[in-house]
Amino acid sequence: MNSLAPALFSAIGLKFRIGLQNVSPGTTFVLNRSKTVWISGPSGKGKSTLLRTIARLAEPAGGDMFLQGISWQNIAALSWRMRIVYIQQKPVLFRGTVRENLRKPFSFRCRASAVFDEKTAEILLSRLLLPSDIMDRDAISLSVGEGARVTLVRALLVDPEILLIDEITAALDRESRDEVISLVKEWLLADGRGVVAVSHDDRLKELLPGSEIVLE
Amino acid sequence: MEPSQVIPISDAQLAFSALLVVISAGVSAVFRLGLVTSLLWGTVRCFVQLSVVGFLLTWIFGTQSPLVVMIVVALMCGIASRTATRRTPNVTDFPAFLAFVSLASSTYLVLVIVSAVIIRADPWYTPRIAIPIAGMILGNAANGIALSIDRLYAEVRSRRDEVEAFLTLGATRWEAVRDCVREALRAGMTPAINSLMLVGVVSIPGMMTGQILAGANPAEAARYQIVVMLMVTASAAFGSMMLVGISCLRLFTPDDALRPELSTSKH
Repeated sequence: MNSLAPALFSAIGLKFRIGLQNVSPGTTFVLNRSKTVWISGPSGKGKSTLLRTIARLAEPAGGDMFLQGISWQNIAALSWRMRIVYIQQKPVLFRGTVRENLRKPFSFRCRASAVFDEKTAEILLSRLLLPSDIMDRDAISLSVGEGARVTLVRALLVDPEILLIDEITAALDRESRDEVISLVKEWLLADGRGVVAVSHDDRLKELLPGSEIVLE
Repeated sequence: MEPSQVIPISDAQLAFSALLVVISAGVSAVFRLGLVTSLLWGTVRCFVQLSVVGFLLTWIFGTQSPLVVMIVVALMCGIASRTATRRTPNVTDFPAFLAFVSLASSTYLVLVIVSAVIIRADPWYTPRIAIPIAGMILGNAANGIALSIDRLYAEVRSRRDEVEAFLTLGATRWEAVRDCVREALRAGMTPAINSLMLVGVVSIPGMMTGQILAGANPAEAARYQIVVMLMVTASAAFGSMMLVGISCLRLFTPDDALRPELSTSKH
C-alpha cells in the first residue's frame, strides 16, 4: 500500500461528551478506502455519539479527525457533511411521499447543480426488495424496516464518500438485511468509499468484514 | 376640535364604582373562593396605576418633546420584552435584550408609518397619538413574539431528529429549520389574524368603545379601529419575523450543529 496517500478518514484520540459531565476516552482508528470500521461496545458508551461526532452533529471534546488527511477544523461543516452522511438509528422520514423524501436533499443549495435521478432511485429501492409503488406512498405509512431502507437509499443518492450507519438492519428481516449489506458492499468497492457502522449483529460483520473498534 | 362630549366622572362617582368590587367580594366570600384579598389588592393597584398613568400622560402630552416620547416608548418596549420572554415555557434563559431589539424596531417602524403617513399627525411624535398607538402595538406584538419564539423552540426540540437529518444531508442552518420557522411565524401571527376575523362580531374593541364613549362618531371610530387592527397585525408579523430570524442563529453551534441542549443526547 502506498503509505504516502492519506487514509480516507482517521480519528486520533477523538473524544466526545457523554451526557453533560463525562468525556469519552479517546478513540483512534483509520478507515481506508473500500473498508468498513465496526464500532461495538456496551450501550451507554457512546456508539451513536461517536457517529454523530464524525458527522459533526456533536462537537469533539478532544483529539482530532481527518478526512483525507485534512483536519475537521479546516473543512467547513457543510462541505464535510456533503462528503460524510449519517444514517440515524431510528429512520427519520420527512413529510411527504417517499419520492419527496428522496428528492429533498437535492432541494438544498449545496446541490443546486446536482440532479435527482429517479431511475437510479427506483433501481435502488427495488434492489432492497421494496415494492415498486413505494415512491408514491406517504412516508408516514412506512414500517420501520421500510423506512430504514428508504433512508439508506436517500443517503446513497447524494453520493457521499463515507456512510455512517447506526444499526440500520435492526428492524429488517434476514432477506432484506442481506440485500442491504450486499448493496452497501457494492457501493463501498465501486469508488473507494468507506463505512463506519454500529451493530450488535455478528452476522453483519461476517458479511461485511472490517476492523472493529470496541468502546469501553 | 377637543372632544367635548366626554361626560366627566366625579370623585364621588368613581368611589361609587368601588361598589361593583364589593359585589364581587361578596360572591367570593359566600363561596369561599379565597379571592377577597387579591380582589381588594387588585382594585387598589388598578386605581393607583391608572391614576399615575393619567397624571404621567397629562404631563407627557404637555411636553411635546420628541425625546420624551422616544424614551417613554423605549421604556414600554423594555417592560413588554421582559414580560414576553417570561411567557415562554419552552425557552429557558432567552435574552430579553433580543426581544427588546425586535419589539422596539417593529414598534418604531409601525408607529412612524401609522402616525406620520396614515393619521398624518403633525408632528408625528405628537404624544397624544404616538404613545397610545405604541401601547396598542406593543400589547399585541409582545404576545406575538412570545408565541412565535416559544413555538420555534418547541418545534425544533420535537423535530430535532428531522433537523439533524437535514443537516447531515447537506442543509444549511436555514434550510434545516425552515419548517420550524414557518410554524413559529404562523403561531405568532394567528391571534392577530383571528382578531381581524372576529373584530366587531364578538365584541367592540376597547379603543373603539373608548372613542364612542368620548363622543366620536362610531363610523369615524371604526376607521381608526381598522388602522389599529392592521398595524397590530403588521407589528406582530414584523416582530415575530425579526425575533425568529435572530433566534435561528442561536439554535446552532458555531460548527452549524444543533446546540447540544436541543439535540439528542443518546449514548
